Amino acid sequence: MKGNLNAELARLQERWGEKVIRKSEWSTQPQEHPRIATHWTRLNDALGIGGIPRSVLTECTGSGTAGLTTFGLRLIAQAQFENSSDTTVWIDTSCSFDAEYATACGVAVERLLIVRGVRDIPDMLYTFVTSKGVGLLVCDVRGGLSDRSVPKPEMLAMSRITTALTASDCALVLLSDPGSQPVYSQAALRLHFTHERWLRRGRDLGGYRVQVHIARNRFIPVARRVAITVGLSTLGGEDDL
Amino acid sequence: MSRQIVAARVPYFVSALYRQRLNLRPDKPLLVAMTRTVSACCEQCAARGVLPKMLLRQAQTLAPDAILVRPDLILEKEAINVLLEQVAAKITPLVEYATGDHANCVYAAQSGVFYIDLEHLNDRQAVQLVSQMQCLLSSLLGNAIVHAGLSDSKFRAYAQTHDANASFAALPIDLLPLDSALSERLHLLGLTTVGAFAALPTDAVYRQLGKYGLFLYQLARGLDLRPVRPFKPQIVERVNYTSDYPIHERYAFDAVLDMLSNELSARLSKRGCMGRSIHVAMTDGNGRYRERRMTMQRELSDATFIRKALRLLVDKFSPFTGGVCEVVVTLTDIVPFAGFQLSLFDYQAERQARLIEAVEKLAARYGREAFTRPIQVDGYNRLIEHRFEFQPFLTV
Repeated sequence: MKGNLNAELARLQERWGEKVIRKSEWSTQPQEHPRIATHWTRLNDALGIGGIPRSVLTECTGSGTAGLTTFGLRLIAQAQFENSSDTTVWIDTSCSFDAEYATACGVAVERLLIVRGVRDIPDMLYTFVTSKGVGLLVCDVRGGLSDRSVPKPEMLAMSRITTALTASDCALVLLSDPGSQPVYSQAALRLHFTHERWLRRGRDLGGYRVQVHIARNRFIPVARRVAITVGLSTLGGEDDL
Repeated sequence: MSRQIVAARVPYFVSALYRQRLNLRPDKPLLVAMTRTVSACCEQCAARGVLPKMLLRQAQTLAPDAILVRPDLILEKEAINVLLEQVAAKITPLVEYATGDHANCVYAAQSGVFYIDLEHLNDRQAVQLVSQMQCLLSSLLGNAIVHAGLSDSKFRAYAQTHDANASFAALPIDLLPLDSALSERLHLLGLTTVGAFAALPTDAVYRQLGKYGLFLYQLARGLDLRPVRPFKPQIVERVNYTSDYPIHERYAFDAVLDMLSNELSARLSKRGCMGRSIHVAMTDGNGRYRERRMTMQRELSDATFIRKALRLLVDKFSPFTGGVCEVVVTLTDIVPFAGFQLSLFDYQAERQARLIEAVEKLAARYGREAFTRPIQVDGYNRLIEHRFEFQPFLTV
């Protein structure tokens, strides 16, 4: 049976080329792809390439206090640390950017461009991506860009952006509400953040635990769940509470 | 050639480890326990009815002659790493140790399970290796009995080494790696055991629970096709200080921390590495053991920063009434040294110019006030909103 299958595979590949059909194989080796490491080592390991990939769209969804803002800010801090030439942009549709918290997360805010009050998000994203002047683009569309508010042409524009992304080294990260998933169906990586529980240090609130479900990953075929800890320490350290 | 996985199960692994380290007689009962609950026990204690997570008081009633050992997580982790390194060096680096979050580990109460992928070997060679590995693990763990099985799936290989694989069907469904929503849903459907879940038709499971549900369904049916995660030995730098008399004065303790951070820094610079996570374990004069871990935002190797991080960690401990007798500092997540890249080269300026060009284009459409940059104005102002100011990007 297996011999027949192999023979049939060989016959098809000979006739139509090697790419037409092939066996799916589990990869045990981590893939090499340009990436920006996240702040959490466990998450980096689970992502397979060691972080958030460049040149593709990454979508992160989650409700309030699921750690999305912290995730985005830590990612910016890491991008600024890894490569000082990386320019970073935060698109703040809900006008809720907190510079104090960003500094506590390690972001060099004077090297960060904040965009507020622009309605035509896809057009702006396209301009930034094609300019090839941005290393990391975090677009916070929670509450500001729901399914209803995005007209059809803008949805189509997302495919234009993902095509342009492949030609640049920019990492595009969308932070969105759980309901708005179908808008950005072209995400190569989709993470869903769920608040698990609060962590206390004595009487104080020290942070919270978040479950990250890797719902889609083009680089690794398995769906995975990782638990990460988001510390609320303003001292610059991230405690494993 | 089909994939071959060996599962080697070492019953009462943790107790065998402590027995070997403390040179205890094999017939002497052993309890590994924290202050109140039992974390592991030996075969003799298990025969008398002692179970993990049982209250220590109850366990000592059942086994009054048992030797009580405090769990040492660092020792356990180190021993597992040594075992994996030895097995990996002798056979293959494709070795995995079943940890607590692993699905099969719940069936392996108090056991240690090692999976080894023998992808490039034929059946005969694999069978020979199974017996070799049994010998190897037995020799490393003293007289511990090792069961080993061979199959194309991790679960099946493990089941072959287990005495009562038929009883899996009666186990509660919560032992599978379910999230709370899925668990609730399965309970509402009346599925409470692994066997009941495994008896469902495949297409119905896929339709109702999706891809992750199908994966759980395969686990329940005894198919774990996930690849063996290759063992990567963790590189750590560890320094410790032991004092004959407890240290009570803070200045003396700070001097010890300075010495340890200098030592760590010297070792790191010799290796050309930086570390990111710091773990401090301290034992006080009354024998109480405390530990804390901190993961830094950035890797560090300089003695000043290590000292600062250490002091920050030590301040988080509650006061030591009996003084400090022993300090162990471990630096993990070690990576090669990488310095900051300064903005010295042309391409960086080019990139910045391209960004400014793009912002100018967008500003013409949406207005200059949409593109801002936060600048710290008064970092110590009482009102948070006055500490930073958003200035237009193009005029900065």
